[in-house]
Amino acid sequence: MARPVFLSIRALGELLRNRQVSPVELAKTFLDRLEAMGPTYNAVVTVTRDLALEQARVAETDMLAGRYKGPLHGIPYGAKDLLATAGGIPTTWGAAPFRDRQFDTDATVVRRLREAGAVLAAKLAMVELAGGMGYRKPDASFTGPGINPWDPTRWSGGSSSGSGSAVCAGLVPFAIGSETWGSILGPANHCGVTGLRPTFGRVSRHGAMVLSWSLDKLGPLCLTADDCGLVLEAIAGPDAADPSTTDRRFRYRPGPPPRRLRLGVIAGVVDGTEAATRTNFEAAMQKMAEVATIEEVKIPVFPYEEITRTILFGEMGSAFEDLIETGQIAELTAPEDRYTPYSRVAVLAKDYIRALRLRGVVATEMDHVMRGIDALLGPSRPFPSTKLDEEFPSAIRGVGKDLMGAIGNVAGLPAISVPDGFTEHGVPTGMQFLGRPYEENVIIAAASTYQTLTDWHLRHPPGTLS
Amino acid sequence: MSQEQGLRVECEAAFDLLMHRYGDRLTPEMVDGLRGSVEAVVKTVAAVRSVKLENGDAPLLGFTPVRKER
Repeated sequence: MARPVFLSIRALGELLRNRQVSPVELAKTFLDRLEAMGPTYNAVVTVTRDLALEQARVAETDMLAGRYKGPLHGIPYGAKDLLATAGGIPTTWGAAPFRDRQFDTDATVVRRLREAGAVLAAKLAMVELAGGMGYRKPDASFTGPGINPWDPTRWSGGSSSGSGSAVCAGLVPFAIGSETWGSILGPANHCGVTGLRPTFGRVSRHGAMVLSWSLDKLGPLCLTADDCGLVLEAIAGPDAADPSTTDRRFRYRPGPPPRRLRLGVIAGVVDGTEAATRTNFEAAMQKMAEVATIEEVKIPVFPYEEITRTILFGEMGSAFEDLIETGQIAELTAPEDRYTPYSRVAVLAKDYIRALRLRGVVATEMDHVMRGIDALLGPSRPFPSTKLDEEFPSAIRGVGKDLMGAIGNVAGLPAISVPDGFTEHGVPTGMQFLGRPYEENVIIAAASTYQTLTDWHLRHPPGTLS
Repeated sequence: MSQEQGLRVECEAAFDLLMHRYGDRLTPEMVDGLRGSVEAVVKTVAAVRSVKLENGDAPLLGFTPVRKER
């Protein structure tokens, strides 16, 4: 039997269905890796061994009885620790004040994955309160900085730091992360895994920590784009408990795009990006040009980042009003997280509303821009993984550019990040496909096509292979 | 008053308000940090204010009236 680590969900599913590996064996393999290697990367908050073995035994019984639940049946996964879990498993939001907090119910995403037969193996580490407080360095979680499996002196990205590093290091076949602005695409970029940020409203946030009601999204981090499609189908769908969810159903359509792709690149999108990010993206574009028509597109001039930032600041200031007003932010790990949130209180209601009005203009303009193309291409992040003790550039703090991140998140557009090369320091870079609303199948097909042409997604950090 | 002066005044006013409300919780280093983050917020919203909007440009809000079944 092939070693069941660094295999795609689809490949693992074949092994399970052919009884070449049992769900319990599979769960034990990943639980052992989570316990042995999780601390190396500060990737894990809680290994849910008892629950995982129980769920794996149920999966085993079901499979032996011929009750097959689908492609995630028997597959272990990790959930970012902002997703509520019942059964006495803590949900910490990565923040010291909540390190012992427990919920009575599972988040909708956790429930849907259980119903699909997936096995919850771990709650994964994250930047405290999903990074919305103003942190400047990776050490902004009570579990320590997220360590990059490609280089232990560098950051795994945030805020879904454990979701990125755990998939990258083969500790779980897939993970659920969240993105308000950059928190799925960032770790996917830094760790060299594939991360999908679904359309806003595609996946219920019920039971997930709120950073920003109108920006938060949940999505998978996996080894392949195809796997992201499999996971998204399991977790997508309307949920009465989250009124933002859409009634549009998502059915994953695997396979190549039905026709030659039409891709756009925003003029100047690589301006200000790091050299390796730019070089690798240009090479990736050339590769995509073998199977797609690529054209430069111009977009209207707007203060995209400021609009997104104003909405984020206004909403986080309200979501964490208690923590701010009581002064409990003083218990957070990052020094700047203990005072920066006070400044967010200074956002006036009229400016917040103005940003929401501009969001409408931007969403309409981008719909027009993207009408003739399947997706926009760009670097997943403007910079690769930085050193653990360095301040990193951040568009959220206003000290770094992230044009496509601002547009994609403020307009609620789906995006998928795939690894597209390495820097001279040996850490990955990524390319994103930014799609039209509800067109996850298009961007997954485009990303899958790229992954059939390249092998970046098949490379794994040497230290994780033993 | 120039735009730059206006922003400076707004920064100071916001900073004073925040110091009034939260200043007793902050160390001198935190106060310096807070001043910087207030400036960043004021610059951010100034950029948002700089775009011309029409009367009909409505906020993109999701809202559904609530009616629970009895």
